[in-house]
Amino acid sequence: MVVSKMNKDVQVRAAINQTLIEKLEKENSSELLRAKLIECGWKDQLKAHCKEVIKEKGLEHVTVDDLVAEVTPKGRALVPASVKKELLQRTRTFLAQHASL
Amino acid sequence: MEEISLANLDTNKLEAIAQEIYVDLIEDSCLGFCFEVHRAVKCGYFYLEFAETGSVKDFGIQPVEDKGACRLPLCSLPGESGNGPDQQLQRSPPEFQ
Repeated sequence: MVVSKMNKDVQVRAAINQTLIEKLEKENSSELLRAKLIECGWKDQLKAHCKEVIKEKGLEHVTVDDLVAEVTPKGRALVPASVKKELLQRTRTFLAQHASL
Repeated sequence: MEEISLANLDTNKLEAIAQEIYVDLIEDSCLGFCFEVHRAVKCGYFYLEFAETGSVKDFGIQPVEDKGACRLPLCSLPGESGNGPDQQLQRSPPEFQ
């Protein structure tokens, strides 16, 4: 019974460790993506689009929902193919390296 | 706990997982940007961000007339007159005062 409890503890610790590694990788990927998107002008293009949305809705009346509805689809479409490729490759490499959950 | 091995998943499934993760990251970035912009709008510094690319007139806010040197205490520094801040940034719009 003690052995089985120890095994369970080891498993739980391994699962927690794996989660932390995955979260760290996600955080690192997020940071990398943010930097790439600024570098390629994505943020500037989206800023210009936001300006239009805010002009249309009014500075005082624009809501988060308005911005999300109008800006998110454009944001998705504006991501350059090179950034997408790099990020996907990084994710595939991570999945290949961490072959068990 | 039963172990699930990614190595046992076929390439298509791994690719689907990678795509899902990519979409999640892009959605995060877009949402974060929207919240950033919304915060800037509500805190009153959104138009400052865009001062380089446009002016407050773009948002229907009339710029302050040029009345010479700014008389605000912080701007009343010794030195040449007319050294007030950039006209476009001189005052926040009325709704933010």
